[in-house]
Amino acid sequence: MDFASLAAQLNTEVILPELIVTATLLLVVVGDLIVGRAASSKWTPYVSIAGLLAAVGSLYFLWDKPNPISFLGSFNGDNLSIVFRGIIALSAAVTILMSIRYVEQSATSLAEYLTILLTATLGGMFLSGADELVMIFVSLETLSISSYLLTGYTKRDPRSNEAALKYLLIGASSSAIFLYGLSLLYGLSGGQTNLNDIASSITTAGLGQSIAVVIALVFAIAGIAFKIAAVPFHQWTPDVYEGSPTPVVAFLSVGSKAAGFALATRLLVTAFPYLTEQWHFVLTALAILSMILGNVVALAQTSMKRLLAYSSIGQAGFVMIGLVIGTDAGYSSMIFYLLVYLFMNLGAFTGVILFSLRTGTDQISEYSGLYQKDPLLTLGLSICLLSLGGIPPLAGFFGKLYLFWAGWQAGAYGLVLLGLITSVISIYYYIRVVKMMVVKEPQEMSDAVLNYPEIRWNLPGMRPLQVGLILSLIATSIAGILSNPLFTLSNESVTKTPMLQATVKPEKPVAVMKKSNESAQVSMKF
Amino acid sequence: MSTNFPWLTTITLLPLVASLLIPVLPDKYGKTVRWYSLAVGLIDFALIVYAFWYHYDFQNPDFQLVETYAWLPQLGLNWTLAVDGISMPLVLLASLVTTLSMLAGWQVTYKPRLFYFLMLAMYSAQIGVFCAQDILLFFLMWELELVPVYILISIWGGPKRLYAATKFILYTAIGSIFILVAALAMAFYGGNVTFDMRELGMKDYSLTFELLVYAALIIAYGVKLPIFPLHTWLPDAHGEASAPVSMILAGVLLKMGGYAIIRMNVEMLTDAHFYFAPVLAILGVVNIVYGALVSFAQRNLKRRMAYSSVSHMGFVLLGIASYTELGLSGAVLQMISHGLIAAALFYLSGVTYERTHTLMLDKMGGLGRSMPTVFALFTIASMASLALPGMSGFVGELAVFIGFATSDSYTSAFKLVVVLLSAVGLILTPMYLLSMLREMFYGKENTEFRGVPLLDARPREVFVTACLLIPIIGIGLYPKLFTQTYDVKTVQVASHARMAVSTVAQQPLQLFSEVSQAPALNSVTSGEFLGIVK
Amino acid sequence: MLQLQFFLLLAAALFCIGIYGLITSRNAVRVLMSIELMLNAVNLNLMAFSNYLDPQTVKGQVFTTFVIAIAAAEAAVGLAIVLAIYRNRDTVDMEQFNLLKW
Repeated sequence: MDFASLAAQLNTEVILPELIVTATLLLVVVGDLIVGRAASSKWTPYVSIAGLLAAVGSLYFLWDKPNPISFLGSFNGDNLSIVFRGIIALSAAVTILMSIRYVEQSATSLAEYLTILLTATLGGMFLSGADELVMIFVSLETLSISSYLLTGYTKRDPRSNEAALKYLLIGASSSAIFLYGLSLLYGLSGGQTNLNDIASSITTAGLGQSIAVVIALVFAIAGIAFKIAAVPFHQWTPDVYEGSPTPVVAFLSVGSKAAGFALATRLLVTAFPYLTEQWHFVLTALAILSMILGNVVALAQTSMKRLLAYSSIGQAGFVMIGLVIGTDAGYSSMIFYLLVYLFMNLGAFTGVILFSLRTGTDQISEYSGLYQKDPLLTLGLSICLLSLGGIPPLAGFFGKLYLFWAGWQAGAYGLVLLGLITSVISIYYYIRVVKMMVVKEPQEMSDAVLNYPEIRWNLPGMRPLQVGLILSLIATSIAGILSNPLFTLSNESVTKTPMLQATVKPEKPVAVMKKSNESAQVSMKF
Repeated sequence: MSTNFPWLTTITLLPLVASLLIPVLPDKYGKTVRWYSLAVGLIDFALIVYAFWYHYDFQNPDFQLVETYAWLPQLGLNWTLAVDGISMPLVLLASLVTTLSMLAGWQVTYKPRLFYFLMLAMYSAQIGVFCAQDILLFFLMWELELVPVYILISIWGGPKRLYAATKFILYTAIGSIFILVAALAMAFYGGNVTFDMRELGMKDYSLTFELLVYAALIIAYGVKLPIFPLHTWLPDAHGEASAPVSMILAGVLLKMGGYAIIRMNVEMLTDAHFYFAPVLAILGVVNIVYGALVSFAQRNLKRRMAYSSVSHMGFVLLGIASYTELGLSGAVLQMISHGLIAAALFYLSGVTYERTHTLMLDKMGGLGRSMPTVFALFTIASMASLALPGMSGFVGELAVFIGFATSDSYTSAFKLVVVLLSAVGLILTPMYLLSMLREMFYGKENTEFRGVPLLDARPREVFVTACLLIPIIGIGLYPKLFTQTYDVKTVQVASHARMAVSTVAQQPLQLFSEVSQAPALNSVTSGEFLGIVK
Repeated sequence: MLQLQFFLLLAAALFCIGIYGLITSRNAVRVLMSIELMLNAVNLNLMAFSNYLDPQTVKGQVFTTFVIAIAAAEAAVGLAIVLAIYRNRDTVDMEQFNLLKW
């Protein structure tokens, strides 16, 4: 096989966005080495953002590509992966906006931070399209290891150290378990590593219901549930969220979680079609536990970051509703929710970072009376939190509406009811923060707010934060009302993805009460 | 202008769009914002009156000024607005009361931007609730009003405002779960998925399903209306909110519950209404008597009026349950009339509070001497509330009574008990209202007010009250002027409901045979259904 | 000739030992070592499968190479973090890491 035909077989342009991110990454590393730390911090963040946006832009040209399989079946750049890659790259771009000031204030190198963040993004993007066991493992670990590094990035802060260690130990052990599941899959399929081949070999071998496959499934789900922080694999989340640098948390809660959902969708749908009932059942249980535990425990939190940690667990539960019902509308509602979740959660984190940069605290009680001193921050944070709670006409309302709509359509009445009840609980704790900021009288102001520094957007690194806050504020307010394009996007990403179409459940007509016929007959006898 | 102009969209969205400008308005002393908001309110009111006057046919029972735009076709969510005889008067009421409450909040100097922003946002939400003909849109508008009310109560309210606001939001949010569930259930029932209320009304649901949905909706709207066991948020919320917010709460928000019951439970779930109507009638009586009795025991002025609202909304339930044109028309009239009266009473109590700085009846007394105009206005409003002939309250309650008494759907024993008990409530109303007036205005001036200048009502305050009292008296003197604007619709609804009764009543009780399939129930014919329904 | 099952059983045993060490160790470095054990169990699994089921394309062996490389990276990062925490806290005892609610 000569080089040219091999290159043609690789179908390299499918990973063009990842190539752009890689180039950006190298540019940042090399540029930092050449011009030095102080000079490079002026331009590296903007180069990274430009690179990520260019990657998102290039995704547009890959939409509906007739032949999305590249690298001999390792990577599948179908529409589903494109949406997820877009979400991850965008979340990284917004994360950079909010990191600049934060990293500089912690007196660490910005370029190195960006390098690691871009690597994590790269891992996440590859994971979204990974169609082969080795590829899945390598990209998953790229994402995870760089996340550990990011978590411990403020290395002089013992809390950050501790968070990193906990994250690393739990993360590494969960990926070891996940890997064990993968190795079983490899063996059971008689030496296949491509997900489609695995499924077909296992089916032909008649091992579809064997105990070993079930063990593989359970191990795989354990790894995935760790990544998306579903209960009971969530224990790391609050600690890591509280200890890590806040921008990193923002990325973990959106980008890394989206990558986890991409992995879940692809792995479970492609490799386990013969166990659909079982994995739906397990994920339903996880969704129920996540919704209940995440939203209920969030009620008792006093730290804003822990509150958002538990809220993100609950939100993951909502998203899983879309995954488990397994209809077209279900998958597309999952994607739609992740899209709006991107804006609203990153907006909330931008607000939290801004507040902690100015006052140095994350305690919810310290937010009281903020409206008097900083109306813009109050507005941004309030809108994003209310949107997370699902208050119309904000984006989150439409996201939840779509999820529940799809759930009801598929007949998952119990899940929808539970989702509704827990989202009412979530309104309570989100509005508690809003109340702190808006309602408190001037004399009830906290010390942090009393000593609030003068708002100066012209400090280095503050302008990007402002841009990030306003962008996510606008997106959160508008994305719901003008959500038609987003709806179309998420619908098309599902309907034009062959993998999902092959396994999608026929949309069953809503249960008509069969009894009415019988009882009509009964009553006729009378 | 042509009738193709999207009147209802304009009316609904104008306040919301206008409210978005408030944060950027130049405003030094908090004056520009209030003039601006008042102007927006007035323009919107004028638009409503204009649109209804020129483009609304009062003799047509169908939906008018219909507008439909696809919003999210993927969900089947349409921006469908329309008004008919039930919603049209309520849109007018909402607009009038909200505009007046902005005028009433003239002296809000604390965070005025936020106050008027929320007021305008709520304005839109209220109109939207009454106009929406897509059940998802209705739900959206219903939820939209949640956070503004929460913040309005919790910033500008009384000492226990945070508790009251939290209670309000939890009750309403939990209630609205049921709306969404019912909406989804109805929309996905049968083959075609639709959220349009008219099409939902035409679907042929099975009886069990209809009963379940009816129960879910009655819980959701019962929180809002409020119906007896679900009312506990109301005295807190109304008692703690500031006067302008109480005006809207009592004047408009309660009517959203009554409106929704007529619109959905009666119009769309007619068969189930047959089974629930006696329950509604009983709950209505409980509301009337319980509200009046508890009101009697309240020492806080606003809480007393809040319970009086509970009592008065019982008549709406009774009217809805009556199955007669007159009863239903009375229910609508009672909603309008209570909206005006309650707004006036809450406003006047706010006026009093501004001077005395207390709401406790024990601490008041002898105010009549120094505040004669307030005294007079308060007396007129109370008279209207206790249903003095010549006032709208009298007409509304009388119509409900006659409507219920002439209803042929109930046994005469049941009617007798219901009418008798609600008559007891009617007697209790003057007792607590007059004793309230006595404690406030008569007697010797309380010593605590010595040195406090108790100024009489200012022209603005008289104006606000007059705007509410004039329609009250107008309706009271010549109710036909008003009822004829919507009568055709209530007649249609009532006859539709009665038609369903006759078909449902012919059948053996499928409800039980469907649940238990016990053939023994065959002997129970609808004729003596629980001895209540004929 | 040895059967495939023996290798799988050995791998499973190794994996269980790894999990046992993960749960009981108090020293952070020992926890890291336990994770390495688990990864090695996976390697053994993969090699066994590759030898017995897939001797032509040896995908399992390729996979193993990747796993070894990544395990090394993970260990490097892990040890770096342990080092950082040792500098700040003078201990690597897991029980002492209680700044965050566990």
